[in-house]
Amino acid sequence: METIEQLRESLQETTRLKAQAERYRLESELLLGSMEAVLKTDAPSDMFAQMFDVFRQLLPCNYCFVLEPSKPGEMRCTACSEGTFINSTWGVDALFKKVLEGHTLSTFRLDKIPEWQQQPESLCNVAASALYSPVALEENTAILVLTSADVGGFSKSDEKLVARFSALVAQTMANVAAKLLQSENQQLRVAKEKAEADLIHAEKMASIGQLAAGVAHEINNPMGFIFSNSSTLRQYVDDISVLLSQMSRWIDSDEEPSADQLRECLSEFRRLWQELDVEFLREDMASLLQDNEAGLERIRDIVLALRSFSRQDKGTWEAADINSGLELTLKMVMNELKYKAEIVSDLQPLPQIQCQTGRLNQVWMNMLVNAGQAIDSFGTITLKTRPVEGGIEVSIADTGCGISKEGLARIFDPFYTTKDVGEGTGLGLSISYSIIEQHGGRIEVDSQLNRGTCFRIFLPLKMPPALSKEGEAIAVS
Amino acid sequence: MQIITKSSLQSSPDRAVDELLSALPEGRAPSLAILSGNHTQFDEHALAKLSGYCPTLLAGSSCLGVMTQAGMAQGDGVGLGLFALYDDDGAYGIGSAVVGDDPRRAGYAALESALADVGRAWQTPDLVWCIMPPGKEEEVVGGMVDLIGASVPIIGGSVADNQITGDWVQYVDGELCHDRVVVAALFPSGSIGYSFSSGYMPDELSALVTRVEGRHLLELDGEPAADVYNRWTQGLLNGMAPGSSILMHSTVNPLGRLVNAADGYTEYLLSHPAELTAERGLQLFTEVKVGERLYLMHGSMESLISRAGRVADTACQLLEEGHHPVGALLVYCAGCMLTVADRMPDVVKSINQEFRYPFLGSFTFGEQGCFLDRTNRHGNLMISAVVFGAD
Repeated sequence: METIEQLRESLQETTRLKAQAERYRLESELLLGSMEAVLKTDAPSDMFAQMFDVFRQLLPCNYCFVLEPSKPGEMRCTACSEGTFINSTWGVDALFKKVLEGHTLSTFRLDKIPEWQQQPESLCNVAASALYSPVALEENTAILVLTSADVGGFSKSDEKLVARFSALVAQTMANVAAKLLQSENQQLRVAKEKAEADLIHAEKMASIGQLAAGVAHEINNPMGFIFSNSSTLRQYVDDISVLLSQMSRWIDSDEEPSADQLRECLSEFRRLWQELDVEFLREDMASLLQDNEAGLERIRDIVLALRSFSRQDKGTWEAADINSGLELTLKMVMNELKYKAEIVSDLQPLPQIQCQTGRLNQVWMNMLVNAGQAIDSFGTITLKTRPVEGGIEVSIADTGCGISKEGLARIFDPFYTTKDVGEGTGLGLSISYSIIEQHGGRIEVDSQLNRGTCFRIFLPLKMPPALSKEGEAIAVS
Repeated sequence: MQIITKSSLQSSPDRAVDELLSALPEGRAPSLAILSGNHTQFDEHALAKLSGYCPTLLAGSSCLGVMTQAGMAQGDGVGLGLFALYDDDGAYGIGSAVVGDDPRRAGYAALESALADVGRAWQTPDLVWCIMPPGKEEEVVGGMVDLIGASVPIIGGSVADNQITGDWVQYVDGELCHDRVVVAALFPSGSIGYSFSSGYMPDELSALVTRVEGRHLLELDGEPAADVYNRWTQGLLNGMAPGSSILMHSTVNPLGRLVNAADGYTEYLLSHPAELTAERGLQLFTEVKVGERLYLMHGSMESLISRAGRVADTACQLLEEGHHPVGALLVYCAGCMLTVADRMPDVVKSINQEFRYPFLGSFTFGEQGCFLDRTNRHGNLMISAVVFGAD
């Protein structure tokens, strides 16, 4: 049977074990807590702040640092509980070399290390002892440094604890690297999308520029006869004004005309009426005004189509009827094509598809203009649409010069062009390919030299899920 | 890591050393060797031979002999034991300094030289093992703490002779010394578990120290200290003449100071009354200060016998997870050993029941160890165990 003395002794031993168990428990709780906190934080600085807080709760440290190799013989502080030491450089001394070999160790007095004088001067005044632990990273080894204001601030159990935490540090740094990479990738992707959008817009503008001459011609025609008609109408108005002036003489007078005066006036009216051929004027004025209205309507249509077509595409995804886009585009390019080809249009009713209308219109324009340019004298351009399984198909065929086998292999390469310098960017088909790809579709080409070329574009009703996410990213960019 | 212990009862120091060396593998020096034993066995010639085989040697005398897992090695003029630790991946260094008039400086310098010896002048060791002459241990330990801080356990014992006649001895650098603190700085490849214990119970009786000169306790609550102590112990000192050794009588009734009261547990630092003085004072083995409250403590023979085994077991449990014990160093208060006397084999038996590995136990005139509040102190009537573990 145990005596009170033995029980007391047992209690002492149990207390020693309990202290150790408590330390393990605290360590485990904080490890789990800090892992959770670290994984929840977004900014690298927050992650390290969380991690350093953990160390400060567990250990008697006043500063925490993460040092990473910067150049031979030197390490750089990449994270610190005290911002002033960020980017400070630390010489690699004998102690660091040992740590970099994989040992976690502590020094009881920093002033016992001659090389300590190489470390940041301001730190020498506030740190009496330090604990070091290697942190294995993907490409190199970093060092976690904890300092204490007290001599012998760290015990062996502290070293073991920190060694275990080094895994957490490595995890944190990997996390930071991953987040930075993710952020970098996101920035790159945004930049890429922007560059791509800029390129598409630039190419569209270049295409529109090519069309500008035709558009100007189409606008100038009605403008010409509108001006001419206006001039004629002005003459007619002047003529009628003479007649009206004659009438105003008696209408504005207070004097009652005599019978002779009335006869004389009527005679003058008849003379002027015949001289001016007022009947003709009435008919011609109505005709001129009708012509002008028609001309102005044509101009309005061209301007509206041009404005609609050249509008900067914001990447909006919407359910749309492809036929409408084709018709609009056709109206745009008709000025260019009508002198080169007969346009045969066979647009069958289509289901609406989820798409970026503006960008698809650019594809249609590019292909129709290419078709027109492939025709030397006068030919036929056939535009067809039809619903197919899972989507729709658009085909644009011309009876032009055709494309060689070598050319077929390269037509979608950026900057590939057979046009003269200054006439094409060489990006039209490349960008068209990219746009169709972004829609989850595909382009097929059949061509025979001197017989013509047919582009068939398949577009799905809905994009595949993987592309759908990308589409969303593009949409918000 | 491998630990070999061996004791010898040879009367000739040379033959004793030969017997100890016979247990060691040939051609392979231990990383650390600790020799302890009867001061009569400390012979320069014999120890020179030993240090030739064991260059990293810490050697100091122990009261009457030693104990190992094989039993007690005690006798009239005999009793020598060796602890040999082989740890190629660890690092161990020995240093020493003369205590003289500046024990604090000696503690500092000895530890500094031990760290320099192992080539780690700045690195925090796992443990500091030390031996020192009785008398100024508090200051010596304080000097070590000055250098290394409070986070490293400092464990050891005060070298002892057989009759408290000042014949205790250390062997350092080929010489026998009497006033050296000798320190080993330990950086083992495995782990270390240690426990430092005193199972004595405090009594309700207590008094304030009102007059003291170093370790000479003169008055308690304004009364001669011996009179107070005699009253508390119901006449333990009756009939004793001034100058009498009371060491064995007071073993079960030492004086204690409350040094740590945390987590519902109280820890007392014990002072062992060694001698009744002419001034009706008590000569202690530790220093006490005016204003400190001293409690009468109670112990029992049974706990002195069973305690060592429990301390060793606790130290084992404090090894790093997954590590198994390889061997141990034990420090057992010489006063306790003298009190237990013929029943010391039962102490060894209690240790062997809890700890089935090699160990070397020394009997000391003072013990240094790390308390539950992680403070290194010098005390009396303590038992400590340092267990070495490996995975």
